[in-house]
Amino acid sequence: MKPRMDVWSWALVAGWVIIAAMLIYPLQSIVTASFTSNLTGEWSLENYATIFKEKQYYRSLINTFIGGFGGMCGALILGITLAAFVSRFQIKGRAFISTIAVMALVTPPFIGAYSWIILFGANGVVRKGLMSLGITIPPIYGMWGVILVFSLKLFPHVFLLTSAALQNIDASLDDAAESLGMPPMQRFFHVTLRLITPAVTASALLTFILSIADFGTPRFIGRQFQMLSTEAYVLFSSETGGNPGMASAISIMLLLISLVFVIMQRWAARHDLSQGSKGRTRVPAPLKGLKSVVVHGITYLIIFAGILPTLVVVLFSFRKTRGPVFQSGFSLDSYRAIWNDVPLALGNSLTFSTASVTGIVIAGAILGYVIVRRRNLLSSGFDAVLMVPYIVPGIVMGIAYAASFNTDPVVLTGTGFIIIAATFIRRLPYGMRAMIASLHQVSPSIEQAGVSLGYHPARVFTKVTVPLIAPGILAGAIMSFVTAMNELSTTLVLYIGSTITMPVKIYTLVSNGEYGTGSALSTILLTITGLLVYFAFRVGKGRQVM
Amino acid sequence: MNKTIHGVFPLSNIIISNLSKMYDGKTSVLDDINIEIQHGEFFTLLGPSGCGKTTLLRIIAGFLQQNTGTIVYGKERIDTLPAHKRNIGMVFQDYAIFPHLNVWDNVAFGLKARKLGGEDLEQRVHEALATVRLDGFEKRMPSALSGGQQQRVGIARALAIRPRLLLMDEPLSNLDAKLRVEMREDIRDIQRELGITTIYVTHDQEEALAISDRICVLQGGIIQQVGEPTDIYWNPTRIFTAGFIGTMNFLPGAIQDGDLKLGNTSISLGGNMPSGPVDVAVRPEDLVLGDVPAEPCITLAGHVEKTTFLGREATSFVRTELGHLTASIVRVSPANLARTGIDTPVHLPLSRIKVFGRNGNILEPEAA
Repeated sequence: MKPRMDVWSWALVAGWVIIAAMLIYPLQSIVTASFTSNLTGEWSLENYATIFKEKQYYRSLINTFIGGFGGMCGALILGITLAAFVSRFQIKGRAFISTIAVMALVTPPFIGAYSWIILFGANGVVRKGLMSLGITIPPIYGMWGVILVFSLKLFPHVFLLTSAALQNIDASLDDAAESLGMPPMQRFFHVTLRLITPAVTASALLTFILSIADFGTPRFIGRQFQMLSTEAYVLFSSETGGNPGMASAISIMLLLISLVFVIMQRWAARHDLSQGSKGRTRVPAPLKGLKSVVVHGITYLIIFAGILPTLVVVLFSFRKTRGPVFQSGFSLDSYRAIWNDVPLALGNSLTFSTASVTGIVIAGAILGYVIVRRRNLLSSGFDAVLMVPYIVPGIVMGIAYAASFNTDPVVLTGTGFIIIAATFIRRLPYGMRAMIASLHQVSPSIEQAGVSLGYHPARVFTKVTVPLIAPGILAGAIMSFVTAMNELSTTLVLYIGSTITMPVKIYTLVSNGEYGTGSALSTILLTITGLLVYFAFRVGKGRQVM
Repeated sequence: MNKTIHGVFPLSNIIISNLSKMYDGKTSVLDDINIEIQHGEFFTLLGPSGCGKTTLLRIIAGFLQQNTGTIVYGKERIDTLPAHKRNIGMVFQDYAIFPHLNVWDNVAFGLKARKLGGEDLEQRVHEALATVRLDGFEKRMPSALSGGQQQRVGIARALAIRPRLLLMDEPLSNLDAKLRVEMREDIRDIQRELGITTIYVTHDQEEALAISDRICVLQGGIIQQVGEPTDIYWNPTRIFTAGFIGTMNFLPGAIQDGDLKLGNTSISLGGNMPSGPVDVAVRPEDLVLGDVPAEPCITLAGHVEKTTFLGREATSFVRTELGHLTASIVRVSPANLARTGIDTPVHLPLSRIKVFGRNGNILEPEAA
């Protein structure tokens, strides 16, 4: 008998059409551009050759690795220290620490970057204060600044994944090793460390991937230290018409590095040994005296450094300003100054985010269902191709979209729709993961029960499946919304004056040195973000929503 | 109790003809299944895991599509209908109770699909809940019910739609041993009361013997034997059935010149049989240790290796020159429990032994 074309088969076909038009086509066009000579317009490898010939380009290639590894090492040191302390000792205020870690994660990276400029830039508050005391420290700009900001921005990833792994390890394993006669240090190396290594590796590789994809940080404080992401942006958007061939070649370079590390990251995550060993969890040891002071001191120092950018932004949004220069005392000057800009930027951000998240929820629920319940070659292939947006850095996606949709057959550049579409395709896999995770909680027999009781499968989906996965969908939707609201790099390539968003507005203000108004806008964005995340955790009932 | 449900079902048999199912176009899961299930019958599909019993049940329910063959209910062909139009009730192994609905709404779910409302609906839900003795639990959420209660909701929900057929997919396997026995009696009583045709899947042979009107033993996607529980137990026609149901001893033997040859003994089974190697099967409870019984027997020299006391009975493990035998001792006494490490003759009553050929079929002596 022939398989029938049902609702779900059509949904899968529609999914493939979306992927072809919104993902494969744009990426294919920058691949083509990267292999096209700027002079002759013919097929050529000269753009790639130039990367390795010209100092500026291969420096940024090397810098990408330096920034990535530097950020990874810093995040590992901070994240593992924090995770080890929190899971091994009775630290006061654990819930507070986890909350701060999550908040640091959702803070837009560029806000972190420019907070550090406010504090430690050429005219930085802290730097000037120290100077008046006769202590001169170099400004934060350059390689070390970028690495520092990456480390402080990304350590919560390592902290959350490592402490989850430590929590999952069955304490009986440690007892078993002890009863077999193994001393404590050896137990740590042969048992605990061995078990958490894959999880820690996965988190480390994740921080590398996020570092090299980041645009705001090297853009704001890199100065001489430019990375591939900033290089691609400059080449593409330069006032003199840009260099699409080079911009594409550099984008593809960045994409390939990202691809290799994503594959390694997936491999490590799949080999997580701490998962599935359900047993006793280790009871944290009490702390006393000097040890307690030291452990608490280090813990809260790390946490403070993680939350500092947010505090600085909020604080400085209320500082008195004269033009772009901060004055002593507090006022609402900055808020007054931006008041006229807020409606457009915030309106755009809310509209674009709502539109793309609506699309993500609908497509994600339907296609997530197809992937979970209808496993076949087409749906497995779809699952695999949805890995691609994880790999593509935001700036690359922006360039691909701008390059693909500015000529016939489809002209979208300058519209709000192109921003919505790019955000949709970039965040769809994340939204869909959330659906798939909740769908796995619903046994197929529950749906079959609905069918055997007389409802059409499509009605069973809406009457049974959707209500059961609704909390997961809602939590996933809110988190998608948060990331869409805070998206900078893709939008930066695609926006025009009338489609400006909050992050882009903040970016342009900060680029012009207007830190006061930038802080005021950032505070508004942070407040919305914070409220949404809080709400996501409430509806998600503590389930994994990140 | 609720006689209203009874009598709604027209007297119709289910006829499954030439049904087969393959995965990936080559792996055969069900091979040429032919079954006729009588109206009102409690019919059990029994077999080890992977034998195809659940696949067959899911094909009947409409969740899987067969490759060939038909399923007919009365005069209506039902295998071409989509699952939601078959009007077949199904009870699931993992209960599959809707966790977001309370007991009442779970049971009413299928009735709403049938656009029932008002008093009709109310009455049907009450009836169904009364049938499974869950009256008073209407407002409970599934998370506040025990496993046994959840499965009762599952049964009530399937019965409420007055299905033409009730399918049960290992409904008791997630319950603890004591509750399993209790529920199995309840299911049997409800089925008798309503007279609803039921197809029940299990891998537990004791459960199948206790609950069924007829049992279909499946192995490797092929029907081994269909029969009443006593038939299946006492008169297995296939060596698989003999070994799968209860405990069975097998000894290697041969047919020579029409007689059964077991070790050094050669004995006529009262008719001619084709020559060749055979397996001789005998139940532990049919073996006699020690004294010679009145009926004709084959006797083997044995050595009792150990005796295990089980309370109501005991089991002796006896070594013979042809292999090990397990013998049940029904009347347990300190004297026969102490019989470990002694030599004793083992008697196999001729009327109790079954002889299977190498193809797995039973061999019956042909009258000369």
